[in-house]
Amino acid sequence: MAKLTIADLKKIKEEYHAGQALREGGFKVKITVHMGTCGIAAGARPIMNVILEELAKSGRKDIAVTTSGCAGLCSKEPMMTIELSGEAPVRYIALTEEKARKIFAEHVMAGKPVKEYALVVGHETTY
Amino acid sequence: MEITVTVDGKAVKVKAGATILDAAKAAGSRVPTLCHDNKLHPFGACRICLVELEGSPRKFTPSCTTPAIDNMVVRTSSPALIEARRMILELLLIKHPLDCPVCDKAGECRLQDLVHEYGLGESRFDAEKGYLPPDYESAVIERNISRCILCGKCVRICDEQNAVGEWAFTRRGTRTRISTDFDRPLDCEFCGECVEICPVGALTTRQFKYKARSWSLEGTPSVCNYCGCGCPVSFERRDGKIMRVSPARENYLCAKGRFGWDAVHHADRLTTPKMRVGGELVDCTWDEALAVIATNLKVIKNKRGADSIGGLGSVRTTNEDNYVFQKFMRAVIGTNNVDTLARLKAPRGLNTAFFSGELSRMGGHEVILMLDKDAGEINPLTGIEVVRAVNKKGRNLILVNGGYNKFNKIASVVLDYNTPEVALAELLQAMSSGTGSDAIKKAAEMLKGAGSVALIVPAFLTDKEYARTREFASQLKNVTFYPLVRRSNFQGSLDMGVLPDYYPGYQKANAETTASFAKAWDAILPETAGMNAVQMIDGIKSGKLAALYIMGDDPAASNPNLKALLDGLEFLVVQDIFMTETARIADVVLPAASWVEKTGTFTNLERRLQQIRSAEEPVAESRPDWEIIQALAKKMGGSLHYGSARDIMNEIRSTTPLYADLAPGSIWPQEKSPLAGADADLSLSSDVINKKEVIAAERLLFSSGMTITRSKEIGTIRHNC
Amino acid sequence: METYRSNIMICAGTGCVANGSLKVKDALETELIKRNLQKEVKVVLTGCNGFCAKGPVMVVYPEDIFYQMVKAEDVPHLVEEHFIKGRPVKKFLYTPPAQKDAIPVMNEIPFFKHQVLRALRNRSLIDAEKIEEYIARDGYLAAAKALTEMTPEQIVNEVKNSGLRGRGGAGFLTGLKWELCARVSGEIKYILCNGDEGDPGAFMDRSIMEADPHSVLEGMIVAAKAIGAHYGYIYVRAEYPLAVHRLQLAIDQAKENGLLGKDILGSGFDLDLEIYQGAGAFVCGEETALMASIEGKRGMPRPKPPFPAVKGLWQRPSVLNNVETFANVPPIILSGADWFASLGTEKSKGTKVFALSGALNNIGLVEVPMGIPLRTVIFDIGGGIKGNRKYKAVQMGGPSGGCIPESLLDTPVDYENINKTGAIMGSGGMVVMDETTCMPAMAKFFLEFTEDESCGKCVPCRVGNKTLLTILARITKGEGREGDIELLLDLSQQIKDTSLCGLGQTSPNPVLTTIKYFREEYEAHIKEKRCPARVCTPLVKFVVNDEKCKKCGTCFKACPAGAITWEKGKVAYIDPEKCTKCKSCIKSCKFWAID
Repeated sequence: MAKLTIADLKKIKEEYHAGQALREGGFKVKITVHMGTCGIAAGARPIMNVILEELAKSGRKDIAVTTSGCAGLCSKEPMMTIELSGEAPVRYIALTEEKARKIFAEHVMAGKPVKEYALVVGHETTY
Repeated sequence: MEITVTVDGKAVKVKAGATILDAAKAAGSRVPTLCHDNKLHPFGACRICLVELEGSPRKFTPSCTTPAIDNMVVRTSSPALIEARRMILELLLIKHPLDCPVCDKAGECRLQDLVHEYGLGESRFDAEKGYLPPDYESAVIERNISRCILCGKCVRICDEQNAVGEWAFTRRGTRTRISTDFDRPLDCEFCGECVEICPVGALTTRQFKYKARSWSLEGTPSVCNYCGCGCPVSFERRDGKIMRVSPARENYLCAKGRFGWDAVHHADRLTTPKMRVGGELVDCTWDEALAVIATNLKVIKNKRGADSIGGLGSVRTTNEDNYVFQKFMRAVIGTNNVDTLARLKAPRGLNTAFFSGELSRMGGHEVILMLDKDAGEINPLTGIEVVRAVNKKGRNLILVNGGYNKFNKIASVVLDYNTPEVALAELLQAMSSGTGSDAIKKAAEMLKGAGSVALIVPAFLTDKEYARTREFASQLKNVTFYPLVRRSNFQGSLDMGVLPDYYPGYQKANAETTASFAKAWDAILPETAGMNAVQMIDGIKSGKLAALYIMGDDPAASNPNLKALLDGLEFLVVQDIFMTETARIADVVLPAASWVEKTGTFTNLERRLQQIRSAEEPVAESRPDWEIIQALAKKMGGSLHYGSARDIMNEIRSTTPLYADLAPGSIWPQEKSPLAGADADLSLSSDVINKKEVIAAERLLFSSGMTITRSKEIGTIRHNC
Repeated sequence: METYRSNIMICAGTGCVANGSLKVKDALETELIKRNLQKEVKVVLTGCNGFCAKGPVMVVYPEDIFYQMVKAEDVPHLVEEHFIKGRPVKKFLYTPPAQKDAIPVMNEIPFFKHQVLRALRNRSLIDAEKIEEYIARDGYLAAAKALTEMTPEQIVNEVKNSGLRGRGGAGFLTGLKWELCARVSGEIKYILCNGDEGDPGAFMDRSIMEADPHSVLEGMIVAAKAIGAHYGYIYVRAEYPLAVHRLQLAIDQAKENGLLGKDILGSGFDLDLEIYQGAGAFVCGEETALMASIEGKRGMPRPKPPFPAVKGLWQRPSVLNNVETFANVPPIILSGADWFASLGTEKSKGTKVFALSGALNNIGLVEVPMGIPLRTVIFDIGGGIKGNRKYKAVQMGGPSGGCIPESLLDTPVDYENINKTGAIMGSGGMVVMDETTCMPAMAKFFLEFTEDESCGKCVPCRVGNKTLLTILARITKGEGREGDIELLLDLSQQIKDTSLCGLGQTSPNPVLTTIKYFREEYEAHIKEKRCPARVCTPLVKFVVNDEKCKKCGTCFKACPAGAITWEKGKVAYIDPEKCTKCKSCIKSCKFWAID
């Protein structure tokens, strides 16, 4: 990218929200695997590998997979958040490779959250 | 600007920027310190200088690091402060070994003094004396880690004053140790400044170990006899023998000054006069020796003329010795053949084009141009003053150095040349036309803009370099020279007229001066011009010179060709303190008293007159040089009637305008010399003789002709890598 | 207490905020004032209710009416219709779906309910290695505003008025620190970030550096403009390789995009930042030692004055701030000092990030408003003590801090109140201890750390900490003596009063606070040679207390050495010959029946 101006900053923000809002076209599902040092230490990399594997197997093009840093509840790592377009995000905790596969099959592909593995639904409070 | 501070109820005025400790001193209040020293930047490590500051949110304030502010109110003593200071001492004593009975520092130890003052009888804590073996590997300096209180003064002085930084804090916490990198043996300048400044016995010198208790010593103020700096010293004696040498007041001393004095105790000291009988040198009495000399010289004088006899004076004997020597040669022998071999490769332009500034004023110059990277090795005090100027006064150092040494660390600009000639040529060009490399341009700008420049003149200059240096100096607004002078009384020997064409005080040996001195000395003085040292040596070959009287020099040691030549003389007299190489081939050897065994004066490179005082009795039969010459004169029918060195100095003052009002400790101003600004150069050159510098160790820093080779202590400094 | 006839709860979850819920709140408040309803209708921000797809969401009480997708422009109409005319606006009505999933909502879970993310505003939402994601969440807009619309004085005033205090532990007013440096004249100044985070148990800064490195960079840009610096360093401990990597990447990406380097965003302001890695010394978190370290020297603190704002790095005016402090700066610039000061207490404004660890159920990183009761943090957010044990104390402030007992659990968490207990807020480490922690042993643990990390320069810290440690070691070994407690107290206070830097000035705090609140434990160790928590092995007898023994046989099953004999219905017995003192029995016994 070239050197940005303030107008550019605002444009990037708008474009991104348009994409991130997941309301029309674009991605239908966003999977975030939380990979701060706590997550990695607890085993988030194998989880990520499982998700990418399943994603490849599914052949779908409308699923976004991304990472973030520490999500705060370090004792329950590895964690991931699944956000379906038009719905509140669901955060899963204490993952194993098996659980990750099940979540992919049931929540991502079939649209049904896996209650037993989920901690919470929604966003954090930012004032 | 002055500010007012109230200390213990007393209001004092101090300069803005002073610390609370300064204010306390001004008020006469005693504040204990361990890690503070006037020479060093405040450190704040020991915490024993804490005081109570009114209005401060903190209970205690460190007085050595905190700047005083107008209207501060300070209390230096209170029950809480005394408790706090006791705690600091208590904590230090947990680990500090109970070494007082065997520790050399006893009697001058800060820790001892403070523990005594604060009345620590019992400690609240258990002792934990972990024994760490002392460092036995380093030369000269012994580090006893167990005794160290980690005040950091050794680290700081080596860094701030010497720019060497040999010591450092290593490891961390209670395992902190002051050491070298990777705990290797010392490989520094061995000046011993760290030992001097250490408040406890963690750093001691091997030379003084177990020799004497500090309180049994009596100091005799005198001067070091190695290089031209002439640093004042105190010979500390017990039972009439020197035990150690300390600097006078807070002066600096280098390895030679601090440790090299032990040369005078070497076994090679001459104890009796000797004369050659049947090809061998045998002991004899003074009478016998002097009679032999007198007879032989009279014969040669009658047969071949007074001008076939020559005298080589000394750059290590006193002014009085040298004055009497040249008077003897002129008034008793009747020749102007008097000189010193040291003038070979001597500092070019010294006393004609270049007169030295005061060393302690080095920091007053905005820019220092060091043309000789070895300045600190030849005249260590000069090097130290340069470091002080940079570190304390923020001055700019321009260094000409094709290699790397400690001055590179503190230089603002480094000119990468091995000799000054090209550097000066390029600087001149840059100063006039603004062209050159980045470094040259930067240096030129600094020099042009400087209100005053210090120019350190190399000890050796070729003809071209000499001319170039003078040309360059003339382009500077305000320049002060700092020539490098290798030997202690080289300046004095010139001043005292140990020169074939000058009488004392640079009075040209013309008809007028000769007549005047003839009157003063009540003697007939030679009218023919004298031979200089080079001509005298050549004269031996050509047969012009038949006899030589050498006082305090050892030409045979520096050149095997010279040795053979001198051997061919008809008659050779050597007067020295050691059985030198030259003495071995002499016909008569006269034992002289060393510089610690006589009284007199030196003149250092600053042209400062310095008093030396006798600290020991002359060894065995040896006598001060001037006394020997006087006795010889008597045997030869001349009349010298000096009762003491003072008598000689009085005569010097009356015959030599240059020294007429010169009090000890003062410098004679360059304008007073008849040679100031003259084109004449008092140094000699010869392709044949090439007086070689004898290097005792691998560095000039530990060398000083043959004398230093007889210092046992300096001899222990070896370089392994 | 005021009573309102109506409460409007507006969701301030990240999703709704991203969709403009804060603007809706502002619009509501403005409109209510216009209509003179502000005394009757209260607007409250709440956490996420889970209806993120329909945000901004608001619920009106007492009617329990849900409105969805409300925009700021809609507000005047809404107020007119709903609050004045009493007619709910159909267009925005929302029927929340029956909770068929029964997955709890953020707002229902105490861990999330009490948190308010400001420094951690981008938590779990962005990929730290993609600068666009940071920009998308208002990234670099604060820098833009500071560089193009504000003067240094204005920036300083904004930060001063916000009441932001240094989050590294000392709690010095950030705006004031910037002002002191801004006033000093000098062409070359430095802005520095302290990412050394040496406290054991603290990982707040690591989290921010790894997850949101641009927030730190942006804070530094604003600060640099305020003080007039064009060079800066981020000092990161080498033990954080991921943080170093992410920060370097962030710096490179920012430079590529003209957000660092020359002429940032066309404003004419230059700033170059570099990372400097620490080499494993806790003391290098101290301001002047950090600067010495960057200068290539040994990390030993220097006396102050001169203060770094006047003579800091390489003797130039410098400002050093903590990572979390910088992360708080961009929102202050964008949302204003008043907004920042709307949370917190009188002297401690804003939020603080805490690293919860120890004997809690919920270990992790939390950000809470200042003033929240300690009890809430530990029991609600932290989920209480693990394994149903009893709370004993929480260590706040790491090795420089102190422990806070149960009796003080209602203390509001802010600088002044925590200081009053004897502990310090510190950088945010909270280590929770239960009844199985021995307080003298805990004090010894922290002293071991500070004794090891002391730089060694000054006598009281170097030797004094070792001495405290020696005494504590004796006490925990069973060699405590009469008078040791008084000695510890005296020496601790003296070390605090005479040490050169913050390390020595605070290292005795664990000793002082543990003695203050748990003196009986020390006395048990010294006088009875007994460790009530059964931690100090030499002081544990390994004998079953017949009166307390519930004859359950748990210890018998736990013993790996077969040293316990037990029969059903009988008291257990430990054979001292076979006992290896591993404490498996003690750890398994729920009744504290083994002494």
